[in-house]
Amino acid sequence: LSTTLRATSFALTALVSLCLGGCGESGGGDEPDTLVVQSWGGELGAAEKAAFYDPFTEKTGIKVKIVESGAEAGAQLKKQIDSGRVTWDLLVGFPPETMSQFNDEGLLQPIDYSEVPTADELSPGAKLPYAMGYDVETAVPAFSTRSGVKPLGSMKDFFDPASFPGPRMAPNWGTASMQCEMALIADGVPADQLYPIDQDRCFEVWDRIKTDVEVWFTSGSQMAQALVDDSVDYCMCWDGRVQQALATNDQWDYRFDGAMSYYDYMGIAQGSEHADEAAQLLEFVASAEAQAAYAELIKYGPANPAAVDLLPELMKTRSAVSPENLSVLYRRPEDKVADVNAANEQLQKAWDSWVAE
Amino acid sequence: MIRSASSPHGASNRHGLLLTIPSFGLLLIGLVLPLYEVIKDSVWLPAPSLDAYASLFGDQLVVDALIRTFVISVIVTVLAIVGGYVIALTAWRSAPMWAGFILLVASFPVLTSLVTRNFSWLIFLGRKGPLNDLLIWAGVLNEPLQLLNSKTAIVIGMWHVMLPFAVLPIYNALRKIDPVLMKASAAFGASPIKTFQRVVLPLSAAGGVVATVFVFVLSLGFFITPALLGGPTNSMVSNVIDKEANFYLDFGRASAIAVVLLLIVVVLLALVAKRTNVVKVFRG
Repeated sequence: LSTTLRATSFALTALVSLCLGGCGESGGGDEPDTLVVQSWGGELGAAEKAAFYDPFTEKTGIKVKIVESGAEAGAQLKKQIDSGRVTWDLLVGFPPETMSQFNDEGLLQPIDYSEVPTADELSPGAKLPYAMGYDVETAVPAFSTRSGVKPLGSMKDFFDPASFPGPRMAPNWGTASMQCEMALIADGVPADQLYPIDQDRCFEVWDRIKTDVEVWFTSGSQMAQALVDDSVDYCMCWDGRVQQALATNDQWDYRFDGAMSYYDYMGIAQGSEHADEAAQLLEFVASAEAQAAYAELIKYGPANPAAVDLLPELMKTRSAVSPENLSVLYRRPEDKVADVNAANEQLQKAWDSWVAE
Repeated sequence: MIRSASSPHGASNRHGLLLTIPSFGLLLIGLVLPLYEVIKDSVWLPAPSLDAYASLFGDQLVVDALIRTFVISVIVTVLAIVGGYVIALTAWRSAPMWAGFILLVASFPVLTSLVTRNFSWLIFLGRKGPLNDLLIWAGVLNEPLQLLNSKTAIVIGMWHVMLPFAVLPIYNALRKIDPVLMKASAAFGASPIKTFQRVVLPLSAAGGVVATVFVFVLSLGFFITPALLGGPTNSMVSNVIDKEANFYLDFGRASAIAVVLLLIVVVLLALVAKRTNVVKVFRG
């Protein structure tokens, strides 16, 4: 029976959270000058450490301890809060819908932006009351440049399998709102009529390519692996991951026409006793130098426009920072963010049912 | 000699009980407490009620995933037992050196990380993977087959992982069969197949039962394999639990699904236990 229990993933989560609660005393959370930050790890964790945490520790003397946790981070923090033993101080690396959901669940505390002056330099929309955007990710239409594959011109072409036949890759990792916004724009819906998101029409557009989607990725490493292996010809992919894959397989390219940009956010954990130190870290993260260093490592765009000048030329053309790229991609207007977040859970559940059919 | 062997016997019994304390402690911390948490969450969140359970049965995603999980687990178990017998019999009938080699190779998958093994299948079964390349090169296919995102891909991936769990208990049971019985069977005119049916199979059935229980129960909990190789249309119950807990932060529903799965498994194991002498089987 112990194998049964162990084998159910939730029991694993329970075990992990039990361990975090019970044996997490040594986790460094109680040390006065150590911040415990959650990280997705991998390439992201390495870049965060090199661009943000190590220089921050050098500058302030405040140590930063990384705890690796990805899709299960929200559940883990919720368990910590429920059990009254919060060992994490900062959540790192979530899109706005997820951060909003975490905030609704009471996992985040408001950020005192008077302690974070550099946040004023960030692009519009990066400052949410409960989370701060620190990089710009863009979901782009990507295509293989191998012979026999017709290059995509825009996201519209991604949804047009008659003119652009070939196996595709698309996300299935909890960004349903974005997937619908891009599909509707590709279908010709004007930006000012996009909200509230027309769920039925969104799925009609996705239905056109559903049988062509060979890989529904649930993680960034899975996405990058499929690009490296040439498993598909076309992809709705994240620009930084495509650039990472290009290092091993240079036969890929992507467009910004019909792409969609958004921020990745950091938020301070509810119950964290190091909110002041966490705010100092946010202050450092938002600075132009740290933003440029991170963007160069991870290949996602900086959230601080002042960092753009510090980037290499190639990076500017490949990220959502140049005026040409910015003019054709889509960003969710700031005044729609709250509405989209509120409707996201219902839309995501509808997506889950649609994609499972 | 006799004195020293017999007199501490009573004491060693008492010591034996004392020695079980760590294992009971481990069971308490590792099994009972988390299980209690899960059951508690399933009826306590968000408020004390059975709503979480009621909501499951109307939810097509959950019901489909449960059925799919059992179907896939049965298929994997059957394949693993068949494959397990083939490998274990080969090892058993080989010279000891070869037997060791065969078992080592058969156990190899256990030494590699699960994620690595699944990623390998992802590449191997891919549209541009070696398998499709080979079939096209050999002229069997004109167009690459869509092998990923299917139950077949899940079954292949899980079979690979589960095979060692079938081979080892079966081999262990075979080893205890007196080889003379085989000769006797042959001497009385039984064909090798008859000998297998009438002598080998009954005498190794205990190993087969252990292997079946291991493979089936472990299969029910597979998570990464269906996520990577099966795609969203082939979610197994662990994937649904993961989504409820980690994405929707709905511990009540996640726990309720886990408890339903657990109950079904307990009932199935109880049926197995009723038909076989479990204690004897697990002692070998």
